[in-house]
Amino acid sequence: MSKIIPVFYLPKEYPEDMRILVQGLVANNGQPLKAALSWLEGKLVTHKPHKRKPAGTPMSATTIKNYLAGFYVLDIYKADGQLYSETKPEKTRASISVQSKIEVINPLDNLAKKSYSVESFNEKLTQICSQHSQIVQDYSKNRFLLYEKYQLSETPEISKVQELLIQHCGYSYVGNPGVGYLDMFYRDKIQVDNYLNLLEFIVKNYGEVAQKSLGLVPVAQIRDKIMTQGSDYTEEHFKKHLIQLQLTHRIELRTTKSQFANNIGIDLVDIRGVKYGYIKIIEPASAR
Amino acid sequence: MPYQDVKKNRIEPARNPYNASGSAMSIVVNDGKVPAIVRTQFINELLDEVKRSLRIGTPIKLFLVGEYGYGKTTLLNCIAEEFRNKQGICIPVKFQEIVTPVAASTNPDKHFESVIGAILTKMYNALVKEGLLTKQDAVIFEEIEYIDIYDGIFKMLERTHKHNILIAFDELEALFGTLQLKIGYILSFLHSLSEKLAAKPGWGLCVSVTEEYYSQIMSEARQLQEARFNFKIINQLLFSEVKEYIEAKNSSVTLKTTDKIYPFEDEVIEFIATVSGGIPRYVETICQLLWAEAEPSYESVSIETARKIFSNSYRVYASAYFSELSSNFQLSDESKAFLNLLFFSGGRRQSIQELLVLKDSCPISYFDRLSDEKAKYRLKTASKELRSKSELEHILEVFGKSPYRYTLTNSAFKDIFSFRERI
Repeated sequence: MSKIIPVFYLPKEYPEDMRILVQGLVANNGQPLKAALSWLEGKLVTHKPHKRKPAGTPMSATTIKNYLAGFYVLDIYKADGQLYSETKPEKTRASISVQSKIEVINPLDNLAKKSYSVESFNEKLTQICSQHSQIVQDYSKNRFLLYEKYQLSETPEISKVQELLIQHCGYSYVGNPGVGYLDMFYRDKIQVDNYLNLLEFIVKNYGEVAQKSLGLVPVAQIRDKIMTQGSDYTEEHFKKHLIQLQLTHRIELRTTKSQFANNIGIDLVDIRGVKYGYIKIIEPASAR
Repeated sequence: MPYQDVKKNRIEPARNPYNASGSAMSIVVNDGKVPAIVRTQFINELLDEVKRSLRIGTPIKLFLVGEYGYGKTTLLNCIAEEFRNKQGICIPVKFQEIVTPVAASTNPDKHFESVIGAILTKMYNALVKEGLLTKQDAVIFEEIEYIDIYDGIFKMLERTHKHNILIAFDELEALFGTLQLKIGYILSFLHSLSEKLAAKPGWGLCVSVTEEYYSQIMSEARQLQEARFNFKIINQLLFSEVKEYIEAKNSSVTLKTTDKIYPFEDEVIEFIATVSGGIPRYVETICQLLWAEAEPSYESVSIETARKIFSNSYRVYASAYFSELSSNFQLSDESKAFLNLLFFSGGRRQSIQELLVLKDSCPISYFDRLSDEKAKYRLKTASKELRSKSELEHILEVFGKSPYRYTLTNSAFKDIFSFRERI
């Protein structure tokens, strides 16, 4: 069966705008799309000069409507009871009627109700899309295939992606900028997948232990457990992700003297010449 | 113009109320001078508890748990002070001083016995020094043929004829970092000792230790340990506490009753609170630096001054930090150089034009002999890349639209500050 990526728009470069749009959808859950539209009008401003209007002018209703259609393509809300992917879309340009009654999916509802930083919001939204959006899932799978099989670089020209998707992945139509936004999702997803997945693993398996011991978890214990589970997850990945978690203020790595480790019976993990005994999960991370 | 106190007198540089080494005081000894410490609510509550115990005669068995620089030793000193106020004494045993001699002179399999011996000797010497025991009292060690350590300590303390005695074991973790010891042995030693002391209501035991040790105790034998010792977890200071801390210290010198924060400006407090992570020792280190460095040329310390001072002092760590950031988030060399230059500027809301001016005076080799045009192009490329990286949001703030302006956040300064420990 042929797939399409329609032309659609998202303010993906501006996570703050993405958040406002999500808030608009959630605040008007159960209403016609029109309600969300008027809720959003005046809350968003342009980032670049456009048609002689300077940056900072309120976005037009059409632009906002286009963005909302873009969100529809991502399957994060239903219009008149149907997700975009369920409508077997044929049109090459995404569109949605303002009369449609909208219903946002639960994870999105939860996301909008919590006050995350823009950064974590972006990560969470990416996670939701990669779990619930058919178009993002298909794209990610195919994009990875192209990367592996056809040595497509990490940051290819979008035209190249369009061409390869049609040639090798059974797409009948790939519209830009739609594919461009999906590519951004794809790259965000890789980043999120890596270190956040590790954090999720840690919190899931050791969150309870950590709560009782001031957030501390022996790092070697985590390594040993994860190594028995993920077949292609190497120790190098593990170490890199720990550092990334530390750099993004989610955990702290604690250096430990080897004699101390000996006495209390834990192993140390050497990351670039420094021996760590414990990680400390920093509060907001465990509360996620 | 130098800082002035409430009467417009000049404040001499030597009156900097902060300590460069950071630690408020390191040894629990009674040398007659207790430096002014800032009492947070936590400290006050704990001391009230100690006072109450001393008054009504309930046993004091405290475990103070906290990381380096959180003020464990300071707290021990405060508690010791409460004992002294009641004509009592404090017998300090600092394990840092015991471990090296023990490690050097005994076989690993004898480490436990040697430590116990060393503790006994330390305590005895401390009491002799205080004039509460004499050399003749050493006889108690001979009286008992097979010495029961707990009895030995008990008898020794009895001879002082004191009602209130605090045994303060500082930095317990030092033992485990150097010697070969079973954690269980030391724990059971502490328990037995505290039980023995319980016979005398005014005698107490107070132990300080880092978090790793606590987590180990908790994962080993939970019910047993918790029931016997009273664990006090020391947390970092909250923002409001950092503010009070600085107000207390600064106003102790300036004698100002209003504007207690002077010579620091408001925004500087936020900077210090974030960069120090609320850890008292770091609050001291940072404040000492800011106070001293700004003193000769500024009337007061503004956020701009603070950032400049910081940038001068920690550039080498910044460059290591940005390298790590680059290698972990695949940043280009341009971006790395951009971040270094931004840190060097110390400024806020810097545009590429402003950064460009600094390229020849900065010690960043990337810009060496690079023409203005090339440098500008590369900074532009870098800034585009940096704006697109969501991982960097907590360290880099972007303002406005083209021309964009950039600020390294306080939290970036914190990362750089804590990088000192990693290289």
